[in-house]
Amino acid sequence: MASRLQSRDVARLLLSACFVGFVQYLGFAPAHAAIGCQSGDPYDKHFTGRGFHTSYQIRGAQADITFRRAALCTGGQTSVSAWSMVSGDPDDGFKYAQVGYKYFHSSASPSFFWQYLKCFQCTVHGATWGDPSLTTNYNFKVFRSPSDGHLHMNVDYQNPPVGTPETNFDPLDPDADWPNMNAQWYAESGNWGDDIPGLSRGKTNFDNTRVKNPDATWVDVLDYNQFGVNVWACWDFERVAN
Amino acid sequence: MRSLMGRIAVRGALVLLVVVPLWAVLAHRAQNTHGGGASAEATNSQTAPVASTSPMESTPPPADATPTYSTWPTAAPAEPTPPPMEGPPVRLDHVVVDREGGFTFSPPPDGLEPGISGEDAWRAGWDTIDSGEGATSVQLTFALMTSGKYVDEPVWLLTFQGTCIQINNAPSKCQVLPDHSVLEASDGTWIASFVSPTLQIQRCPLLGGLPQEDRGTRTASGSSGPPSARPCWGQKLRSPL
Repeated sequence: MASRLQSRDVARLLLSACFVGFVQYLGFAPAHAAIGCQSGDPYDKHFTGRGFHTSYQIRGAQADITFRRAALCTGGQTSVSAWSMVSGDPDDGFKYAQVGYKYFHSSASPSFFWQYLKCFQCTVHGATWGDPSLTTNYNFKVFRSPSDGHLHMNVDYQNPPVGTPETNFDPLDPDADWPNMNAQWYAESGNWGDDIPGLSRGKTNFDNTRVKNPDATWVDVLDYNQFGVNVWACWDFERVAN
Repeated sequence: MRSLMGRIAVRGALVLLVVVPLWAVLAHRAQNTHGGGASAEATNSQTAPVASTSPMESTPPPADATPTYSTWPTAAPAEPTPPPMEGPPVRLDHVVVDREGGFTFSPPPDGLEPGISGEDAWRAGWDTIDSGEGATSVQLTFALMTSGKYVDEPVWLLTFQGTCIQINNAPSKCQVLPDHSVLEASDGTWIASFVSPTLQIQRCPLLGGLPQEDRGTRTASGSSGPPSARPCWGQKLRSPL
């Protein structure tokens, strides 16, 4: 009896969370008003999207992410982005390769970007380019190529028109010290007062979130629920900054 | 029998009771799993951005050196101020290859001139390029770029010093590194911006040692630093436009 009640409670929890997100998606979130940028640690302003945090050793992550503009604060340095990522360790934010789109500061146009960092002591590599088209879905994919062992970053299944979007190391090389390769998909803002991409009635959409298995097959991340893997299946439309 | 309002109130209270803790748990997990966690970051020392001390010779730190981290500025002037130019725009006269980044810059052939002056490209590009914010200086170089779909494309290469590159997965952190943007030399249209620890545009040649094509490369493990630390010999490589 107790276990049945527990299961019901868990189900109710998940349903409630999804319900609240859905209500906000329908447009009941407060309207955005431009506000001034404020000092503070933007680290806390991450938008919690889908995470695939596990010791499972994935070989890639991809998602179709809709490009939407973001409500940015005024009078400060702004940054907002949405991306797919392979992380080398969920407990270490300095091991990752990611690709997506971003606004870097208030006066710049949105652009695509890729960036990777092997370790805290390593120098960051990356590039920005292009002109994302409003409401268009773009596939952002990070994957390990068996041929060279590097992580490659693509937009719509292609390399960027300039540069070489790949790591200069193999994350499976023990020297790389990437113990737990996992996938993450997020939209995040870099300043108090910035909002993530999208509208107040619905933030930017992430579809086709898939991970690459060690056997090189791509599977929907939600399929991992059956294995008890920690997947955040409910995409909540949280208002982050205002 | 309970009224409809009563049932709604009870269910609403139930939703609140379960949603708030759930959100707290999710937020906590997000902090711990995304971005490295506050505790890991707190143990890393933070230092102020270091401006280039020798703007005439852009010399990045050795590739295997610990990068200079700083805190991403959250309160900046509304209109970022363009950094001053290190000197007059110059014309590249040696080949620079960044194998890791996938860029090759070559000298433009004699007689080829940019369609827009370096200063005009710089002014036009400042509002659109996705780099250079917070830079202490910028150098403009007229060159041919080969990268991706571009082959010997005449470009203005803008090299910023003192820029703090945001660490996307830890947004409160940034690394102080040289930062580059390429603009079409015909009209100043922005093509791309990139950070490459190994790309070095120098004013002086490397006499002896590695061939030019090998400059700026390093091993996958980052064990060998770029040869940029070699001293310059005062021989001019680029000529002002």
